[in-house]
Amino acid sequence: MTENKLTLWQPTEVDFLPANLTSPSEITEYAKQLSSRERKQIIQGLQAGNYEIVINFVWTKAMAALKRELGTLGVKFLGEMLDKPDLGEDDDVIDVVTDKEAVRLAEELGVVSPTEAMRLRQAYELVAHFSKLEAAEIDSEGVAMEDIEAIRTLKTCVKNILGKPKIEVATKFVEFRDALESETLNQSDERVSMLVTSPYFFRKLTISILLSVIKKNIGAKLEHALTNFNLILPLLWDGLRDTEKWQIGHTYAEVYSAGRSTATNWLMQALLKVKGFDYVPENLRSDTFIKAAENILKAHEDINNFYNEEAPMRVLMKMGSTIPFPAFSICASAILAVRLGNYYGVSFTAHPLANKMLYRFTQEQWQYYLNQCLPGDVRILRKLEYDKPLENWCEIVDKHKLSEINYKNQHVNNLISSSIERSTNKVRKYQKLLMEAYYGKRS
Amino acid sequence: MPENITFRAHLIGSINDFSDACSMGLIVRPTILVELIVTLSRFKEEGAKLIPEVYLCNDINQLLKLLPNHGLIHIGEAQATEDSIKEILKKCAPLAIGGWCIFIEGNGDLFKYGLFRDSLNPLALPIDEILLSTHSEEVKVVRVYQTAGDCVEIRNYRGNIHNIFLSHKKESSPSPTKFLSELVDAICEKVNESQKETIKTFLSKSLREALTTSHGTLVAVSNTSTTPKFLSDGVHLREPIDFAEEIYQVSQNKLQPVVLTSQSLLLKGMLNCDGVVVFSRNAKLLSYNCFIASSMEKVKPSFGGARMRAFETLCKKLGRGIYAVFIQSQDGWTDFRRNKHD
Repeated sequence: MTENKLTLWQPTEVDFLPANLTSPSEITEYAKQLSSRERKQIIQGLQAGNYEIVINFVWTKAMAALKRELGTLGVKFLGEMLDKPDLGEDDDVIDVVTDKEAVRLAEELGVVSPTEAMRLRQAYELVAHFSKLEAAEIDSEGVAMEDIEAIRTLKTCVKNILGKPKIEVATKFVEFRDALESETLNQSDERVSMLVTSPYFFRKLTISILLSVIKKNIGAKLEHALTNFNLILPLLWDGLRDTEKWQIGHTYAEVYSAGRSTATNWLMQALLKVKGFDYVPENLRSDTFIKAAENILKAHEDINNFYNEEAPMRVLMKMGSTIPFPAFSICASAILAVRLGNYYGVSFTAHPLANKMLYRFTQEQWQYYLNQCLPGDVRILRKLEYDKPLENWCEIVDKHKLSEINYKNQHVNNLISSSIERSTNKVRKYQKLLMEAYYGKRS
Repeated sequence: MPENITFRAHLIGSINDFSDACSMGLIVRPTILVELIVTLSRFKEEGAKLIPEVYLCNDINQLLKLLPNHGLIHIGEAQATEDSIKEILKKCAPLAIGGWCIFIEGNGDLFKYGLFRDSLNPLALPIDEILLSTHSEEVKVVRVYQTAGDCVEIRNYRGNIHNIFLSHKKESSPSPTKFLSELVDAICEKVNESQKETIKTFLSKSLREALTTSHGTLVAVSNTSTTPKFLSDGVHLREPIDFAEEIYQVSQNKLQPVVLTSQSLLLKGMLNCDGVVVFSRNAKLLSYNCFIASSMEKVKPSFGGARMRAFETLCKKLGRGIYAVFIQSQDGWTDFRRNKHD
């Protein structure tokens, strides 16, 4: 199978902002989504050195614009992409999608390129950092945003969001998503063939969307989704990773426990076709672990993460040393997220707990995570773009002797070897290759 | 020389095709099936009537993969002969209660046997609905189960079903369980579509379990949200049991599933009382122990006792306060009528 050649959508990057612009007045001229009054205030504010206040305003405007545009795809759909199945069309996209999530969605939907997404994430870190500072800290240490940081952030926001009159989103993909619940597809359908050869991210997302429709709908939508699932699953099964296979098995257990006979019977037929019943959890004990891990990740990705990570980490730690297999992927991701930290460092209180938990991992569990989960764990892979998390990653690889594991994925193998050598350039090279394999090669 | 006439030879011949269609080897050969059918049709232990569900399979672990949160107890092993069936049932049948079923696993010269159960979640799909709807060679299984007095059903994973009548019933008689699903449809007719499947699953399971041990019962489905006046002689619940609401609360994690289990037990108790149990069409249990006003009981059926007379009287009220009526006689046979003009 040739991967990454065909995709159902592809980002289109048009550089309309000249790269050499450096003055606020030149840059803001391109900010079509801002009023002339707002542009004027931004220029005046920056000239007066009010960098924090102005950049905060620019960032808020940019995020609101981005979220509004993403919202046109449907909040339910965004919820499916973010693994937040509870989101519905009644929810306000500005309230329910965090800034970090909006940037992630923009990247995954091809609204911005990976490079620009990285710049937006850096802008977010900068804004969040200055927002979190205590007044006393600013006064006593004289911490302040520099002009170059402010200009760079302004430029990133204008280039990617505020300068675009209307953000192009993946309409072709959205149409396909609608077809999954409104049409019965057949094997000769071009969209099905494209799906099979699409990047892993897209296949994973299709499975998530179908499972979400199956769990929540009745009538015609349910029937279309179940028929399409029975068509698509056998085509994708061999290439799916364990994380997605457990997700399917878990959905079977859920609809079975809810007494939903139609959904259970069709999922059962699909699982029988692919001999997938080994991925149905024997019990739902894993649910408690999954919830605990989700709480850690929520604390990690929210503001004040360094203070808030400890409590949920302790909860997970007290749940016992044996993490059930269906929950292992998300638990490992949460523990690693805390252990690696972010651009600014790690939580002093949660970090030692995460470290202890990593020492409980057996070699088999490491092997499972690195072979089956890491290639799709973009949360952890993205952390390697930053120096401090990358340094912590290399330490983990060294201390846990991860080079002694057998790797099926050549990029993971190379990533681990480069981490042992502490060659940051090489680690980033293989991180990038893994991201490309997941999302498909993009500009 | 006197000639012995038994139905054994005839029965073995009749289920030969069923046995072949299962392609499960020795475990479902006709002689084993006949032994099970005859023993289960009137099974008693220490004077108590027992109605266990028996599953024959080649690999119990393969089967259990389909049932998340299951439980399994191995009891023993026996030679793979029909003589072992009585021994297996004697050891396992008294334990096959409260959701436990008997399994007999055969894949060679030995039978391994024991008990298994599903998740015991009151909302989960029944075991037979999962195991007997696969139509897959990967999960070969046969269920043998007494569905009414002198009637045993054998059913396999391919969907083949035989009702074995060990009485003078005609071949054209409907299956004793035929009307249960129609009763549940009537009770759930006006519940929210998004919840209908779950409520139906729960009520089917609860009613089936209750009716298995019942000595006969009458259920009426009211046309409105109240009990009809002519059934006023009874116990009318001040707060009707609203199964739809409780199931919704459980699905939202606002109520523990055990609440539904206890409501199931109440239903079982009510069905064991004399008189009529009354439901509404939106899955509310309104009244039990209801009796028809004596002035109305003018119907005299050609056969049957008080329950059958009451059933016929209720049938006359279809469309006039009553939407549907269900009867189960003492020996487990059922009948159902519904107002077709509604």
